[in-house]
Amino acid sequence: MPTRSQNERLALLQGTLDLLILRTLLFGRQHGQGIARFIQESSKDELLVDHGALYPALQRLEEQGAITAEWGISENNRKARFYKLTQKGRKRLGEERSRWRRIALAIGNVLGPEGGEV
Amino acid sequence: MRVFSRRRKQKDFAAEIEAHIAIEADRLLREEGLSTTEAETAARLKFGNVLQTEECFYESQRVLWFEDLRKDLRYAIRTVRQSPTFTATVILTLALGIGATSAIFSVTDAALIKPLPFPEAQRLVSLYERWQGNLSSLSPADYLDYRREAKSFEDLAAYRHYSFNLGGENRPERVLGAVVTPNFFATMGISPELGRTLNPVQDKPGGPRTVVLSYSLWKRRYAGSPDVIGEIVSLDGEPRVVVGVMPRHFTFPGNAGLWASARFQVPEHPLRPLIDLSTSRSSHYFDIIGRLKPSVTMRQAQGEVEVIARRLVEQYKDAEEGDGPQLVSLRDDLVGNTRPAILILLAAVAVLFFIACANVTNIVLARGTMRQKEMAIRGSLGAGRLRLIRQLTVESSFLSLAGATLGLVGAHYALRSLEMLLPADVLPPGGLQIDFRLIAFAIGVSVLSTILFGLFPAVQAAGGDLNCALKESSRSSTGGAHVNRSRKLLTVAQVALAAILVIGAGLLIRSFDRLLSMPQGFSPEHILSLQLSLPPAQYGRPADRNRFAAEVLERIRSLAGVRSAAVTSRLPLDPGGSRRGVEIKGRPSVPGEDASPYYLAISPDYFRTLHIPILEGRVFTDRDSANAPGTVIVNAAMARHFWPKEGAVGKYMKVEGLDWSLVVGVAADVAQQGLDKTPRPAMYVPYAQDPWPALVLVIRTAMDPKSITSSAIAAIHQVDKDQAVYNVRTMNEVIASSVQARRFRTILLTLFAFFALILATIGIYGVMAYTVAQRGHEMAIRLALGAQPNQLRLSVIGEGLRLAVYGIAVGLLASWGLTRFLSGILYGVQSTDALTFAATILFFLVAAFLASYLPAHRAMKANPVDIFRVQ
Repeated sequence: MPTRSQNERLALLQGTLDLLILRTLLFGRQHGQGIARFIQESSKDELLVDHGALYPALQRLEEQGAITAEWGISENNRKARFYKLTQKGRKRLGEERSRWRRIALAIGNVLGPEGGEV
Repeated sequence: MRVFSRRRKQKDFAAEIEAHIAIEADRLLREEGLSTTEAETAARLKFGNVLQTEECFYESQRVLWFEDLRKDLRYAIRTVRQSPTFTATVILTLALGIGATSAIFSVTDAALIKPLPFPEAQRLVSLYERWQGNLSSLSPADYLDYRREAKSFEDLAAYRHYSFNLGGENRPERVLGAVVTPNFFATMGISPELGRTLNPVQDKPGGPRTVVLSYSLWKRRYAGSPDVIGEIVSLDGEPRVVVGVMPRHFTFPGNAGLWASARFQVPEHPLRPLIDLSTSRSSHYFDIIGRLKPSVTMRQAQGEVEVIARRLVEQYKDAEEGDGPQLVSLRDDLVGNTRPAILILLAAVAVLFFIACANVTNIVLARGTMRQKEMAIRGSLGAGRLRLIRQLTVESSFLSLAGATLGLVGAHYALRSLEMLLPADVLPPGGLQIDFRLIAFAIGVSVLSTILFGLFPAVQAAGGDLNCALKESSRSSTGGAHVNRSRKLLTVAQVALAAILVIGAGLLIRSFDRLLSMPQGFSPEHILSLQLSLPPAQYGRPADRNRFAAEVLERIRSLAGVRSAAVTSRLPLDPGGSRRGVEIKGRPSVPGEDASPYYLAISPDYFRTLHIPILEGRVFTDRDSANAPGTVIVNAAMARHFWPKEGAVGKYMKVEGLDWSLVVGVAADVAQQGLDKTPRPAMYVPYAQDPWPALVLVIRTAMDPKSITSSAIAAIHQVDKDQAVYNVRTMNEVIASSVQARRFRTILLTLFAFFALILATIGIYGVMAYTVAQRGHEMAIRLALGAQPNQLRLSVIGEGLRLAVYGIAVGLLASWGLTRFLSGILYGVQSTDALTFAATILFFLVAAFLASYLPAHRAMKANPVDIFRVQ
């Protein structure tokens, strides 16, 4: 499966990366590459995760206590740093998710029905 | 600025990225069928810039506050260099405060805080007897009774200061030391450096005479040779076996060079060394040290000795028990007199330090106000309030640390001068040192000062409304009314505190002046005194001592320039001295009265030499010789006490240890115990009838008394070439050393007061100069509108004086309440002495006038046009 060139992908909106990371971790613990991969795949290759943003975001979430991290072994025996959602992170995910839905709805309303473009 | 949170290591992060790339490569290998190297490269490419990611992480992690601190420091140094006057003023003021504080701290530390160098020294106590408001030695029999009966002590030991003629085959020398009971060292809890200490088993009374040497004597005289143990030395002409050497730090009592075992159950009387006084209840000549049992408190022990004392009084009806026994902790006993004085000095230091800080705060506040615009600009450019406060704090820390360093250097030199001023017995053996704790203290003090003077303006400057500040300073209005008010309040507080110090110092100066002008009872001019001590071995018989004294006096009298010469057993103003019980013929003893006047043996010319007036009767003559009927001269105090109406001359009395004697004269009172002590009853007997081995030669000269020193010593050596002569002093030196401690604290407090006055004056000057600078605009307008310069000048001076008056008023009121704490060290002045208070008011008014005149004058000289231009 050929990968799309990076330019064609959508850049993430500011602040949404955190939400996506949290959502990804809802399935269980995962390492950085896995998170990036999951986001990319579950967005049907539309979303690009910039690694230069991913790791600082993970770092930030860890310091905020939304996730915890520990070193472990990946499925193909690689040493990797695994991230896990905390209770606090779970709560945050709920809030961020409903907030995002409201924003998306609001923006949708502003933009009007599909096909109404000039 | 999460300084304290757990941080991830950069390395850990790099490892995570490597893992990411490895996993991605695995996937590419598996899913897209790339070769290992291709997959690796692709994964790396896909990840993007690894270094940049890592850098990004680094940025988020790194210790930003430390970076900021460096910036703050650099900024602080730049600011400091831009305003050298400001910097110098702040640093010098602080150095003064910190230096004075540190120097006095080390004196206090040496005298009060450092523990005594004895094991469990808090259990060591001295046992005295209260006697006419003083503490006095116990009698031998009383000591033995307490020792036998008191259960509160592990042991009680007796010791007597004594200065020995240490002889031997070479170099006779005089060594200060003590005669001690054999349990002395066990009581002190000290083990020997070499050999053994004295002990009750091997050094029984009547056994072989033994001696223990101090470390310094051992090193100096015996070159630190271990062979000295077992050696026979000659002590006062008597052979003694050296049994031990004490450790270096042990020199108690005083600065003892050796310790000799007592001949009897108690130390022998220095004047009657062969007589066992163990049963005497009226001789008081040695001191007692005790060690409390671990579980016993001072209070319990005090209770017990009082019970024993009451029993003793009942048992021996005629016994003279003084006013009861008194325990004093050894620490209090050793530093006792200086304690209140040192605490007062400490308070003075704290006050001076506060004044210095207040001054700096004022200066910094003024600058803070001037820098409000700068702060406002920096604030509006995005500097956080905390950030601004921190930067100001860094600046003030920098200044206070610089001040502390300079202060410590100053303190080091100040200590050298303090050593010269301090009474020798207060000084620790190694002299005053700036030790590690003093440096810690100075740093602590400077941190405190940083908070005191740094934070306040910082909050002030950073706390105000930025907009308001920008507007205010752009118009250079009289801005920051509350800042001005706090500056003026600080100045008033400064003046008040300084006034308290000045009043305290004034009272001490007045006391000192009074003290020196007190009647001494003798004329100290042109008097030289030399001390001698006749060792019992060569001068065992009274006739030998008599012959020695007579021959020496005769030779001295024949020297050129000598008016008269005499011997006495004790000099005036030399506290302590012997007391003897007396019995008055025809007068029953009054229970509870003190019947032990001071006792002095003198040669006939004593009164003539010292110019002590004879009020009644006659002086001694050569006819009052050893075999003549006993005669005695009493002082006025004693005559008043025992013969209030009938007069003393012609009455008979018996002095303990002597026969019945006839009172032949009444001499005027002499300040025998000290200038600040009321003369107590004292009696003089002819030296010929009781020739003491310890004697002081007093010589009245026609010229400078010091000039005959060498010929006088030569004359003594013509009589006895082995006689050690020591303590050669003029009478004025004796007086000076008797008031040394008092002079020391007077000088110190005066210095404090002086600095406080200077600092307070600077404080007023600072406030007024600042006010004038602020009002420059307004004044220029008023001048331009035709106001009289004098009028404006007066208004400025008036404002300065008003500050001073408020401060003085507060200071005087506070002094009124506080100076009574000084009354213990005052002499002859009330603690509310009107002259002192009036002088203080005058001082401060003059200082305030000068401090506000200068800025006012300068303001008037300025050209209004310049002022407008600056605005």
